[in-house]
Amino acid sequence: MTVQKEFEVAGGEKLSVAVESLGGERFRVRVGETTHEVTARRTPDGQLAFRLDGEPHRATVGRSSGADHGTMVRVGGRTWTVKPWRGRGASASVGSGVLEAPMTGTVLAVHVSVGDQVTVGQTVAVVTAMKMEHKLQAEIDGVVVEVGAAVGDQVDQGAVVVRIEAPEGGAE
Amino acid sequence: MSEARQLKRVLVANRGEIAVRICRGLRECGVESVVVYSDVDRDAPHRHAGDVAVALGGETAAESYLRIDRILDAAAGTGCDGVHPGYGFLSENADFARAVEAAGLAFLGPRGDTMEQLGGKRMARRIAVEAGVPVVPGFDGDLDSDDDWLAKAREIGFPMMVKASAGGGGKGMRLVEREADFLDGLHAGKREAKAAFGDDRMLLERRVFPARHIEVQILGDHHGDVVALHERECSVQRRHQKVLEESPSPAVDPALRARMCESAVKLAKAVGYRNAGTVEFLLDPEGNYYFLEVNTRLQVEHPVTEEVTGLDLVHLQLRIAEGARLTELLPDGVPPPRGHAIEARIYAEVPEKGYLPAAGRLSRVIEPEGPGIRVDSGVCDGALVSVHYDPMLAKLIVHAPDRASACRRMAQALRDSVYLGIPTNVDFLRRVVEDERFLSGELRTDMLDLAPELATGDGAEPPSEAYVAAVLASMFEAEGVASVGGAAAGAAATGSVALWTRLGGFRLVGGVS
Repeated sequence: MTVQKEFEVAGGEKLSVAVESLGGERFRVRVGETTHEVTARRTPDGQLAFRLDGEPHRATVGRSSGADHGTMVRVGGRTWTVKPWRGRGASASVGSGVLEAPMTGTVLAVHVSVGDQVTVGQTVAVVTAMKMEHKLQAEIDGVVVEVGAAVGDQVDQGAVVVRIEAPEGGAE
Repeated sequence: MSEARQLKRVLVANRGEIAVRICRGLRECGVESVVVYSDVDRDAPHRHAGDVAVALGGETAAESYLRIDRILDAAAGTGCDGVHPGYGFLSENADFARAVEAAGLAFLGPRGDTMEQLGGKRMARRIAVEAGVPVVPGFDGDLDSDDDWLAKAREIGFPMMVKASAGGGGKGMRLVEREADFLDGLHAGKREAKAAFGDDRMLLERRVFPARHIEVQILGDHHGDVVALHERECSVQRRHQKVLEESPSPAVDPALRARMCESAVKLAKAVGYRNAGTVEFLLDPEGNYYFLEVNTRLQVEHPVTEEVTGLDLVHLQLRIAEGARLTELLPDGVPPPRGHAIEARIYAEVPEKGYLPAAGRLSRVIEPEGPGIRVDSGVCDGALVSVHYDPMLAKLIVHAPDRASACRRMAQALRDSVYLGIPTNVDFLRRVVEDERFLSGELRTDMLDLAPELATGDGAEPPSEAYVAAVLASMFEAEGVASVGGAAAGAAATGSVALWTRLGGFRLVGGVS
């Protein structure tokens, strides 16, 4: 049996990982262009014990409940989230003009209207949840083209609160 | 225990790890427990921790765990003779404490009147002054105009803490660094206080800086006696909320311990304090300490006191509520602290993004065990972490002969802790307990602000083994399903994943408490 998966890695690149069962606890694993012989087994409590390039690892794998549809892997005493490949340019770039609610909450303040000029770092809205206030700050200079929520609105995590467009010739 | 009555069945008016922990303590004393749960918590571990479970309905805290009427109905309907409020929710609600006692039930906590006296920071401060306990220079009166507030603030000096009188546990207080920010801070503080506590009276206090947060555990019986169970240090905080707590404090020597404990006992005796409570202090670099507030409840971090004293605070709360005298409960007095204990609070949150709270379903949970390791947990495989409640999942407590070995034990236990499905602070906690600044014992309340790299981490990309593990897991899962012989083992090993798949369409709706 062979299982192959594609992941999104740094810089939006694609990484292909394939595991081929060689019988027993032996597997052939291809990570990108390199191939490794791996021994692996599942422990009674559902963890993975495997040896990759001679290095022993113990890992636990679980689905992420976030919107990224990623897989969470605990290995080396650290948790990593690996994301499935969804095609080039699928992820938002840094310094986006789209300001989303960082968590489910209530909109406490909206300081801008469509057409307003904003600069990097300017607070454009405030969302409150868990009795804490979170400021949404512009990540780019530009013009507000959309205000997706009003004061008092309940917003879900990831809901677009304010959308800013960079002026002509800008990066976004 | 002449006037004592033996309690037979106690309702636990809380959720999560503390409800589970209280049920365990009650059971050890031969007392039955009744738990209550909201609609969101119908599958939560605490729902199964008691002998009887009563549905409260509702989703938000206000619709469920804050419903005094429904909780009293549940207690009456199940024949309870006592109520344990846990922490948070109704634990410091004087009306609740009084209503419980008016219904003829024992309240495992202080009297409602005591909560009112001490629950307001301003009155607590005045009581402390009366009792001869040192307080931070500040202002605890009322003012009408912004100008008057500003004038008073200038008098006290900046930086300054602006606190909601009704606040507590880090909620409703903020640091104002400069005069220019004062009125904004005051108004935001009032707004938050109004929303959170329905009371926007404020207290101004000069910032003690740098400071350590040291608190003293107290126990009072119903006969006027009060003892102190040493100190805990809770200086490692984020957003004014404790993250790591320990006992004893590396900054407190026996002489200082004796003085702080004496202050705490004096304050408690001044109000006839009953049951468990905590007197919080700030300690400055010169060894001066200042009264901060009293928490009139069992604290989140009570286990570190239990570890170093060998006492069980829930057992003691129960016996005190039954009328026992401290001299009977502790015939040899309070045991001196033995070894060193540290607690780490495991939160569903994203330290890398300003400690934003997280919610969702835990697909896999494995909690560490071993010598000197205790986990007070409120979650399990498949547990739902709701946006409606505090996102603390569990508390990891270690006990070792000395602080250095306790730090090592904690670091390894954190490495062995698995909470998958939603972001947690486990790796952040491990970075902190392995950091030289923590290991040195030179703690201060702003240490995490001074070390933002501990929150953000190194931003490393997942290593090859993470991708390999993800694909191997898929392979084993597919094999488990494909092979008849392996099907049972596969289902057992990936039970949580299967549960998640079944509940894949689950979605939270509604507001935030």
